[in-house]
Amino acid sequence: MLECSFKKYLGHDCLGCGAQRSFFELMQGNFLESLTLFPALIPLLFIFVFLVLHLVFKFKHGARVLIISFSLSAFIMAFNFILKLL
Amino acid sequence: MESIESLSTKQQKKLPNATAVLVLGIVSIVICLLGFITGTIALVLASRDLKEYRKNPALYEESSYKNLNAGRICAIIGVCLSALTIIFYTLYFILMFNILNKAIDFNKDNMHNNYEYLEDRLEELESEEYEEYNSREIDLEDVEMEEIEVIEEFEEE
Repeated sequence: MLECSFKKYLGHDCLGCGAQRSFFELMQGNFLESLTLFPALIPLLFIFVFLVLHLVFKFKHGARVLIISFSLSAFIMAFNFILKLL
Repeated sequence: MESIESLSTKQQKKLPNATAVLVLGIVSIVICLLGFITGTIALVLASRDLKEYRKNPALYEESSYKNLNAGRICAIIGVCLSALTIIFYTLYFILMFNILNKAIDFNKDNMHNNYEYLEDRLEELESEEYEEYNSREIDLEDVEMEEIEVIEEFEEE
């Protein structure tokens, strides 16, 4: 696993911390645990898959879908980050 | 007019950095420090392409312009998030550093529970006692009286 430099030197999770653990949990089929570790993983995966599809097939409203899902996942990440801090 | 438009749609080309900006802008959310770098690159590329697009919008495809715009917005969000985290952590770090310094100063002022302080204090006390013991005045008479008492006790036994 890659190590987060923020977590290594400051001792606190950064915005993206937990994504890898969450991904491995998801690969093993532990859906709930991956959600609790990093809830924005599934939208992010969706974004990446959709981005590749959009670049290949050129959907009509692909750009708008990307913007909306991106801002949603960013919001989830920020919310999760603040929740972790509290 | 229709024939001209159809001709122009055939001649329209993609914006050169549209897909790159889109990919970089979306990657910018993944890792906070890396996101800052990719997001800024995406913003720079997007600003270049936007200048070209504004000179003559008819030259370029609308879909690639949409892609460029989406990538730009994603990059802005990603850069904002990473910048916020960086600012937050620097503030946090400065705050923690200040608190740590204050704690150290406080500890220096009130070091009663500190082991090193206690050890030093013990050494001081011992040296004071040693000096007192060495510098005491001895009355010869007292010593003789004590010796006599001891001898008497011994004889009694």
